[in-house]
Amino acid sequence: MRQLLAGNYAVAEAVRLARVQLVAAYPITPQTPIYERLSDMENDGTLGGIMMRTESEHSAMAACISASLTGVRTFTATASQGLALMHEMLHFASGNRVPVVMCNVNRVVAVPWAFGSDQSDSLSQRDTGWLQFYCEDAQEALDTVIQAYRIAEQALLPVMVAIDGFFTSHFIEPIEIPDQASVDAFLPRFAIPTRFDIEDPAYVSNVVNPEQYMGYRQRSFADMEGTRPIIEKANEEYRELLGRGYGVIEAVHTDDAEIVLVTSGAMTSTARVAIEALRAGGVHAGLLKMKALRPFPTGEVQEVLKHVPRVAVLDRNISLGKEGIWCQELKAALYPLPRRPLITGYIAGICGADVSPDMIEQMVMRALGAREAEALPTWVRRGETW
Amino acid sequence: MSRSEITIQDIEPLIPFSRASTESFLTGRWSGRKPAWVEKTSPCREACPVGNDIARAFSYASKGLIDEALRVYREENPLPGVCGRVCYHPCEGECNRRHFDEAINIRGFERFLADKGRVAVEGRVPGGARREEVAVIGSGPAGLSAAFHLARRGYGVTIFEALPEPGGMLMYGIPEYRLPKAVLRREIGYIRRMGVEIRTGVRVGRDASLADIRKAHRAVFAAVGAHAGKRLALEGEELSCVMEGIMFLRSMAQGERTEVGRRVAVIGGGNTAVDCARTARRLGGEEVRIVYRRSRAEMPALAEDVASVEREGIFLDLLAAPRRVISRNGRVSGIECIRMELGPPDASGRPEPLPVRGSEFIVPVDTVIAAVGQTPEADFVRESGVRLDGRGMIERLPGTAATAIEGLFAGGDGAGARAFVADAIASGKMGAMAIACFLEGKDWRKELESHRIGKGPSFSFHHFMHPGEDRVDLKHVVPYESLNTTCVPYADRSDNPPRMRPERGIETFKEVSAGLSPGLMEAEISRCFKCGTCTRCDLCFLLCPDISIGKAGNRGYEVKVDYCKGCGMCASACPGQVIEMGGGR
Repeated sequence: MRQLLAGNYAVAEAVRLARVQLVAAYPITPQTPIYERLSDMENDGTLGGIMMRTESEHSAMAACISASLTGVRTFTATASQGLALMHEMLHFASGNRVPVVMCNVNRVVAVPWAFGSDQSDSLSQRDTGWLQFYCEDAQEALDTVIQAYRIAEQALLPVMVAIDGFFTSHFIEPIEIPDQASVDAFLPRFAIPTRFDIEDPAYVSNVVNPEQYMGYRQRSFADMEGTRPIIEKANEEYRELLGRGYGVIEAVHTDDAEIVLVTSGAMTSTARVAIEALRAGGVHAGLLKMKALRPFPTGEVQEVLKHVPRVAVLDRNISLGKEGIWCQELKAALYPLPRRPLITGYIAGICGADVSPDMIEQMVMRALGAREAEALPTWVRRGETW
Repeated sequence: MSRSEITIQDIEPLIPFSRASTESFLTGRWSGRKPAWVEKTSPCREACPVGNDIARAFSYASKGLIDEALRVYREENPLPGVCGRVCYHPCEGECNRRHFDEAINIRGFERFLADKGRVAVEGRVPGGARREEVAVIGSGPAGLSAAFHLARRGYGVTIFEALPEPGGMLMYGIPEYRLPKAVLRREIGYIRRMGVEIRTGVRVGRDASLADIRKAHRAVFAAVGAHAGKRLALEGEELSCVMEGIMFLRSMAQGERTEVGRRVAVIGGGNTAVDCARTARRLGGEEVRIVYRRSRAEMPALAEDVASVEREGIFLDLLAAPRRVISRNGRVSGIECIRMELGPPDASGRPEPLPVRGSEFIVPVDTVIAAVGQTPEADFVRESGVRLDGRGMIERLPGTAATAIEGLFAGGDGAGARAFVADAIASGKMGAMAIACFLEGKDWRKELESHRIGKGPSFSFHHFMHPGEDRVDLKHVVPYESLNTTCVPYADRSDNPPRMRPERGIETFKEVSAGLSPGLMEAEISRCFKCGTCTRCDLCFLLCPDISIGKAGNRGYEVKVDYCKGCGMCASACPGQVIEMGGGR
């Protein structure tokens, strides 16, 4: 069924279709419509599960973790400060190996206080042991949330699905909402092991000795690596059953590219337009859309970029004292290549600032002319020379 | 399975579970600083001459335990109904709440307890548990206090009282409108019920000799008070309409209705002068004035009593001293006064009043009442070898309640103690401990230091009686800065309301001030910070992030040092500084 929906509502539809049993959340802009729509669904009975209104995001995650240990499918949504507050519990989730799925609506992190899209909130949770997927639009968000349950429950690791605040969360797009039967065919209803018996309680998150601890960590590391085929298989089956699929990366016009622009999230849609314009103007430009941050698609990225001489990375985030986080990740992934491309980093669209097709074209053309690698990223701001 | 055994059960090989108690993880072992729960001393208690455990009584009262609160008072003071009315309440001057908004009405609280609480004397008294007999001479506040505490200690006590009824100045010096006799009689009744024998109408030195009393008792406490009014030493003093203040008040107390003229002058600035003036007003004096040689600030009477004087239409003639009493036809017709000005401080530390040359003036009066101080009637002690000092006071060894004669102790204002009720009670209590130490072979000075409250004048008799059980740190006085007042709302102090308007008050001897209503009292009780006393508010228990505070029954809360990380939340949250961060484990 095709319907006009804002991205937040598309996510709520996915949660409904995934037959989530417990939603524990706390409202925060720009995520609140997810919370509201799920509340409506709970009220009219279309959401099979229950909503738990918690006093904080920290508690929301704690509730999801506990419920998940008892075999319950859980969901939460947050953004920005809410995710930051949840940080401690994010480690608890991955450490307890619970398949919690979360939608984080990317929003700039205070301070100064602001609301626009910015990936720093979720990228700074990189090392909490969660899988992270960044979506380009609302349709991808809906499909990714459903896929996320399959992946999380097979790997027993939590998954975070990120969408851009306002650009994706609030823009209304035509969305294909799958029918329940197709989703049920893709996603088994009872897939989470009951590991915690409330009739015979135990202590979770208990103290272990160093040897034991290291053993658990290594096991988790291996299981995270083990998600790569799970992710791929989930996407393939989803495509078969529902007709849509997305890779952990997506390469567009990269085979003959003399320069490839690397993007993530909602900016990718704009970049597609810019790349087509450059191509029409005779520039051999390509596009690499990054979807997975963790596990990082190192092999896939190397494969696409090993013959490309120049790369421009567009980051809607900044790590003070270094550069854009996608740029860092990409540089590290490409380091083992015998012929490494020249990489130019751009910081643009921070806090939802406008990134137009002509700005992207200029960034690509400037990177195309680069003679040597620049140590620091270039800040691209409308009305300023750069 | 032993409690200390750790079981890690890999239900899945992915995460650990444990079904053993987490108490086996002694997670507090790596922190060096731990909180300590120790009850401390409130500044009001340190300031109280009697050493009342005020904060503890407020704490009990806050839970509705009025009888228990009264019992706490009576551990230190047998006369809370008296002190709750007439004390000069130095406690309120040190109340920590005064830094926040206004001091607590502590005196009003003591009165409330005495009026509303139930005293259970029986069953608590070791009465005669010790064989030694002690005599107390004088049944004023000092004598009653000494007898009460000695009886608690188990000694047989006999009080010898010269006047027909016990109470000393409380009975014969303080008028009914400030201290109803019924209140005093009730509290003296409790002391009698504890086994104290009071023989009234026995003036030692006349009806019984000190030597005989000493023979019959192992120790004697002389608390004879200061009942002899000083003379004005003025021309005309011998006239019949010139009265001595103490005798004037005593005759009123004995039911003799003394006549006063229409115009009355009371000479003096102390409580006796104030009481004489207010009594004269009630006896029909229309133009009553107090003539005092210094200014208002130097008046020894309580400021609030001076204010009552003015409300009752009594004129304060300050910086004026009488020179002579003028008579016409053998009757007083006036006093000649001279204006004074204040000079540099004299021996008493107060500015010395100096006459202004040529400023003499005449005040026409019909009655003159002299209330310029009293001296003891203590000549009888001389036969035992004890000396009187220049003011006629019984001489004690410096800093003690003992006299030069073994077994003879002295206290109260007859032995130089300050002439306030609370100080007399304190003096009697000190005498009781000194006698107990004398009879029990204890070092009196050591005991005093051990039970002394803060750096104050008083000690705790309860602490002396139960040194192991009373664990309050008497030396640690809680300063305002260490309290947690975060959640305390500002609230107005409730003073004791007048029972009637002043113009009605002067028509009667009924008590002028009323007790606080239960509602207002409750507000005062909740205003009190209960500094240093654990109210079992549970803040530490509830806020501890590591569940390391446990409840320990009578001993309040205990810190589980094996788990406590030393974060200090309990100490920060504790409203009364009972918990504070201490040293290591």
